[in-house]
Amino acid sequence: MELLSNLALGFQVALTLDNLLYCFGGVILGTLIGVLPGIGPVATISMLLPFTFHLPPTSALIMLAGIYYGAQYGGSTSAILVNLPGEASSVVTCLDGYAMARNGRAGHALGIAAIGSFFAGCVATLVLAAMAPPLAELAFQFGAAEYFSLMVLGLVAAVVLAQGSLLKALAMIVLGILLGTVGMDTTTGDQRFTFGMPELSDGLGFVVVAMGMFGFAGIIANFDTPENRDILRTKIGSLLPGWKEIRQASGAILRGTGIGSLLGVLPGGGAMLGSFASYMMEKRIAKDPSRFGKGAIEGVAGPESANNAGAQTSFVPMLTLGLPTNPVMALMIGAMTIQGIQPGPQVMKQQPELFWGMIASMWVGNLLLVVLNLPLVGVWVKLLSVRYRLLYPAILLFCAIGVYSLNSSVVEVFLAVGFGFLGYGLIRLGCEPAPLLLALVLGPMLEDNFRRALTISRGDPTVFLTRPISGGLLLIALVLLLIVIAPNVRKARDQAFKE
Amino acid sequence: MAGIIRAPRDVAAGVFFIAVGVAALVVGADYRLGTLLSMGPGYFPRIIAGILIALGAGVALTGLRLQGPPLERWPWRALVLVLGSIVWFGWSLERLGLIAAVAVMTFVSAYAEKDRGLVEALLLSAFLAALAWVIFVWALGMPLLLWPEGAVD
Repeated sequence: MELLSNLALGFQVALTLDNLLYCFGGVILGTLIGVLPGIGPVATISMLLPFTFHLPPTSALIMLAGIYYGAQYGGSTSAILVNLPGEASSVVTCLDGYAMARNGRAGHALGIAAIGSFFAGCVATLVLAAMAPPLAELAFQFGAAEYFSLMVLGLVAAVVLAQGSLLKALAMIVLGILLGTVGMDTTTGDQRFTFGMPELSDGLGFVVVAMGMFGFAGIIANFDTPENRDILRTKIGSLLPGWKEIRQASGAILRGTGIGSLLGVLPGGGAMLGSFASYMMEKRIAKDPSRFGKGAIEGVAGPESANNAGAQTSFVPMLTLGLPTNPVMALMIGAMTIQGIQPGPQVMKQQPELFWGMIASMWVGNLLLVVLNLPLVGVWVKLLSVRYRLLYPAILLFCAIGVYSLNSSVVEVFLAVGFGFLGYGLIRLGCEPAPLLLALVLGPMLEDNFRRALTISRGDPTVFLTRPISGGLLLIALVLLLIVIAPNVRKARDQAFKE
Repeated sequence: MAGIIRAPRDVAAGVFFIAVGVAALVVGADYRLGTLLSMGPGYFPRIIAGILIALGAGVALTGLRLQGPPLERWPWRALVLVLGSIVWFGWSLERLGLIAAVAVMTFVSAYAEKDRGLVEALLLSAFLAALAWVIFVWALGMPLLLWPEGAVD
């Protein structure tokens, strides 16, 4: 069994004392920012990126990954106890989780969320380990045209699955690609859109943009919504649900894990989509849908399993194809590049310790989260009473020093301010910044493969359609777009996001 | 005007996208185009800018056709204080040192919150300046200027 020997190698790496500590640090930090509304994994990971330079690559990635799935655990805590989604992926957990808490079953809700998340995390780790090698094998057969089409599909899917106006999201993607052309043209060496600034000749740093649009703009956007936190006064009660409840929830956990794993792999997917889909599914197949919203345990178990599964399986395309499917994965790609690792199918062959170590660390991290977090629930609740007005200056400080320390460059601090303003403005105009960030990372790769494919085909633009895999990928992208434009699907999708 | 523009947010967004696309075309007007076989630095950006203009026009047109939410008032106070405080940080870090940069940044940004008392703002900025020193200079050993040069030996 190759899978077993690979996983064994992974556990050897993940269980060294250093990596255990980084994993622990990552999941604890992830839980912390997951509990706290107003700061998410994108801002946190971009803040921490500059400080991971001097870590060994494996430890750095293990820690950063821990922040992402750790945040899924933390998000459920504030959703259940305070009716506040700590993370976007916990929005639906508020509905039944908070209702359960008001019925005096807060402990059971927290317990089932943790159990579901842990189960989903185990399955997703296996899915990741089993799917990665064949996908990477497939990716080796990809040429420039296939990569181009794959990225187009990825970007289109990111739009289709995003919230809000389709046209605006598409425009944000294209704007991101355009921003990606800033800097030196890698083929000819010409400077583009640099306005004579040497800081721009390596391109716009995605951390700078992410920090501006998610960190700074996020802080300002938080002033739009007044703070309202009713910390639950009732006792949390026993964390372990009874057998009846576990049996009731087990189906939802299984289905949530499946749906979350599947949607996590898709471009544009990740934690959030799975949790929405799972909630809708549980509500639809329930014998008595009216229980939902009033404390149905399936409404907590399903989505919480799904978001954790999705958070982990979204690593599949990133690790095997070098293709980020959401902003967090874009940052992970950045973290690898910073460490001098070219993301793509060759990572698994050339650096098996890094690849399998990271996968194994996810299982370890999930175990740490269950074992350590449940007893710590009291601490997290205390943290929730730290008000945002005391918190945001600290976030600002970490963001500002983080941007500066990227290249010890003051200019990048000013650039981030500019993107903060731009990002806030775009949010107010109803344009989500996430697709832009994704496109900014993919843009240079997109252009590179576009040009190479056309050079190889001697300037024949039909190459993207005539090569079967490439043509197929573009066809899927087109079909996806057409499906979303179809009016009745649009209506259902808008409704789904409203619920 | 108000009669034609039904969704001001969409129209504004569309106009913004068009403006960026046009700006890219203007700035990049002298980037060499090249051919499909061997593209110059200007080929791909022109395609992308063109698509952006088209999409921007689409967004703006939907704003003229469909009803949509109005433009809201911007929270200028928070916007100016938060972004301004970071500009201060960038300007002062290498001139006046970490302590002054962080203390003033925190103090200024603290007032983005409307009901903030002087004592709270001062305490917060003293605390974060100390925290920045402990974490970034003492623990992480980042080579940052602490005080204005010449102020301490």
